[in-house]
Amino acid sequence: MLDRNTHPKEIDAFLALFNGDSTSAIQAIQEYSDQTKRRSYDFVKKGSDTIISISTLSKTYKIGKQQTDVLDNISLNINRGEFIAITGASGSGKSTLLQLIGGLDHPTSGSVVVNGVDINHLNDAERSAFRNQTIGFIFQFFYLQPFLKIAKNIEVPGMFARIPRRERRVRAQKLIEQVKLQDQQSHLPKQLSGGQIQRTAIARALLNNPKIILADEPTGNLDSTNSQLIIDLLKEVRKDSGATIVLVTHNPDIAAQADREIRLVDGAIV
Amino acid sequence: MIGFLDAATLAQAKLHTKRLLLLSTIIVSGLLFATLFAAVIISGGITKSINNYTQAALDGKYLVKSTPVIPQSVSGPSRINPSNDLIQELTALQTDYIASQKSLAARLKLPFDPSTIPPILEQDSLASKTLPEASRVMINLDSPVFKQYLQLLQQNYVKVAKNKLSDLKNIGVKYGATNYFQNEYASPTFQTMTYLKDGNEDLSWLSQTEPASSDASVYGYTTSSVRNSTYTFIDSSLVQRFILPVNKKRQEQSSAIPVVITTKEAIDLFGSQLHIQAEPTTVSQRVAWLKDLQNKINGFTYSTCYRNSSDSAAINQAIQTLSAIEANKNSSSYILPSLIYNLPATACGGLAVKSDTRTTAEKDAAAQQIATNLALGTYQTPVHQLLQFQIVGVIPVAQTTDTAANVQSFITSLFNTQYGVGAMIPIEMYNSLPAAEQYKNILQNDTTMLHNTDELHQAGIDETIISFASLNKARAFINNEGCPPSQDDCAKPFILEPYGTNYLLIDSLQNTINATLRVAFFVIATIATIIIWFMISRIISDSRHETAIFRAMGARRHDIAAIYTVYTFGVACRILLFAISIGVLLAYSLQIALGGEATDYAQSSYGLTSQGVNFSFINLESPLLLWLGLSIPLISYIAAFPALIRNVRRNPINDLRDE
Repeated sequence: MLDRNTHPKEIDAFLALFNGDSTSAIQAIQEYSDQTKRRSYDFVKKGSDTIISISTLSKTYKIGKQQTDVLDNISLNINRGEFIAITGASGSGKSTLLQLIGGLDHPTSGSVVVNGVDINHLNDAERSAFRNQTIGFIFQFFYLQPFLKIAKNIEVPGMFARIPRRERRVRAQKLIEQVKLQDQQSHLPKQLSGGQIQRTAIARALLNNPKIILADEPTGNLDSTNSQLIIDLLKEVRKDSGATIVLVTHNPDIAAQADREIRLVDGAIV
Repeated sequence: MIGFLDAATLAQAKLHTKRLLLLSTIIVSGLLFATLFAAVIISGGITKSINNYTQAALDGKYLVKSTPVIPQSVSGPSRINPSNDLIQELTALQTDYIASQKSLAARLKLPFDPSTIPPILEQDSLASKTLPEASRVMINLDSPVFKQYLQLLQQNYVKVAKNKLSDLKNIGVKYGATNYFQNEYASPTFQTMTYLKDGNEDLSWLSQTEPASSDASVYGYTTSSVRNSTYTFIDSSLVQRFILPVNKKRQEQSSAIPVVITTKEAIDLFGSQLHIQAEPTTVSQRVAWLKDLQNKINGFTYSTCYRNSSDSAAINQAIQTLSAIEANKNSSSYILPSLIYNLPATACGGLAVKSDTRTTAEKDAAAQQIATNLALGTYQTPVHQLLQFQIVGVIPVAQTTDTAANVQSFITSLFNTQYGVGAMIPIEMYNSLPAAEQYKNILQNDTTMLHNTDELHQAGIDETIISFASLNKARAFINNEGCPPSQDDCAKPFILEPYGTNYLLIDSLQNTINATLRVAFFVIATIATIIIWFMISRIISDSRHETAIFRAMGARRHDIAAIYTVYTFGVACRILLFAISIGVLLAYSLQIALGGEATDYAQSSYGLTSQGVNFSFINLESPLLLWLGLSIPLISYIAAFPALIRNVRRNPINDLRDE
């Protein structure tokens, strides 16, 4: 099935098959495969080890008597510093995978090992601490505190981490400079544009120096210009901090800028 | 866990959300609690003010009037409708008495006339005709036989009585009673001491056996202590607050017997003479009216005339003689009496001999009769004495109605001075007067004058005022050791009631208010809990997403709990501030509207117009206010708890997935 997330080489292969040109189709698939391998290879060269290891991960939701398999036996390794794009159609399990990696949900089966720790074995408080110290979440709808100023919004994860107020302010100030919101730091979110709000959300996600940034469609509510700015910012963050970025997106152009694209179809990696 | 300041920062941000819902909750809950705050402040103010007046009025003393419970058979049978057994007993005693007098006369070799002995029983013309002829009698209370009978009854009773002053003191000491006062009552029998209205003596009274109905209604003989000359000798300290400063009139005439009367009697008896207006119906005019009354009546004197029964009988005789002469002035057959008196020329004067044509033998016989009666103890020397009283104080007594079941009557009874209707003679002031000797002589020599000169009084079985230093002790003493005056079949030795001020009613009012406030508190607390629960549930429910985001950022369950705990506290503080503000505002509004009027009413009721004790509807010192204030956060937490627990226990993924 083709959709807007389908890789251009996949489209080429599909069109070649549609036209009965199997040679071209095979060539397109080969090129797609090579491109993906190359990106992985590039990362392997940059990174050193696996930070996220997902093994035979399944997630099933039960609503009444109805059972929905959202993720089906997924295995995946993500290396430290890698920029991964997870793509797939709506309902394919992208966000669920992200939430399982972030320890927000429990898998039905399988394991998620992050930084050497199987997060399924953590209790609630440990999971909270894990999320606070290891993960930085970025959401499509930003979820800033509407009545807190930008600078204070950025500090919120630090509040839960009990980072001393002064240090928190210093960190927030650096991040504000990094996301270029110095002039807006005293504003409330409603006084900012969508792009500025998402930059604020990114700064907030970075406050506790997370090893992993999980971004759930961070550009879903932004125009193309702002979307690119956000992606550029994430790249810059990875470059500066070496954080691993796992990004869920529908946008093939954005996915194309990742080191590797993981495509989910009906809960399985294809 | 998240720091308090950080939790407060996030809670504060949350307080900006759902403003309309929050504002409605604060206003509705706040108004409910504001009524409670106002009620506590105002009721506390009222009770504190009344207590202040009570303290100022009696110098911090709480007085209890104790009246010994005396069986009817001992205090004396009713004058009318005596039982057949009593008639027989009294008749037998009378016979014995006549025999003893006869024997005494024989021993003294004196002539004896049984008709000089007053009868023990007199015909009762008003008795029911259905009774046998012999039973249509009433007891002659002045009979020496009856007095002997009563004396014997009382002597026997005193031997076994458990209601003497010594018994009372034994009980009182357990309650820390600080002092005991025994009032004495001068309550003369009819005609013995009469008020000289406008300085004139109405001798026609002396021929009556009881006050005419017109007199009772016009002059208030049955209700006015001055009119019927019933005086209470009372310790000066108990009426000190009513005593007016010495003025020129009192300096000029300092020998008159000092008396404190009620405002009601002042108006009824001297109102027109002194141009005192009737008591105004509006409170605002009452203080000015009372001051005017006090000013005009301070030092005012009036007179009464004391005549003992012998003197009254002589005047009656003279009246009858003069009437007979007048009736027969044209009759040639009418023989003038040998001894004729002119009626007294002045008020309370003596009889003057108009003509005495008696022979020497007749004069000797009359003198002999007197000597005989003196020897037999049946002669009473005629005595009359003009007594002058001077008003030195007035007790404000509010006009009361019989139907006490209305607010006005209740408020009136709150400020009731509890001295009853009476004219009071402050003992210390009275004793210091040389001229008081006249009255003292009368009281000592005429057993009809002081009702408590009997055996019971001598044994200390009499009305006593007991002083306590605290209301609680006075109340406990009253509740535990006596019966209320309204109880007919009292099995305890004393009837006990508040005296001086109606502090028990005030105490009862306070208890009633407290009980009402308790019920109101539970009702309001329940309603407020529901309202706050609804609001916080909505807020928390609507914030599930936010909670999930916080959890994604690494907030622990107790971090979320801390934020909502602080948030709930913030809501509670806003309700508290609003409630206190409105409650205090209401109380101050009432103070501004009615404070002055209440002060006037209380000052005039307690007779404290010169002491400047203000009535305040505001008391912010009540511990109830603290409890009420603390209850608001508590109720808020109770209301928030279920929603908070539900929210904290919820898996954040559910709320993220709702997205």
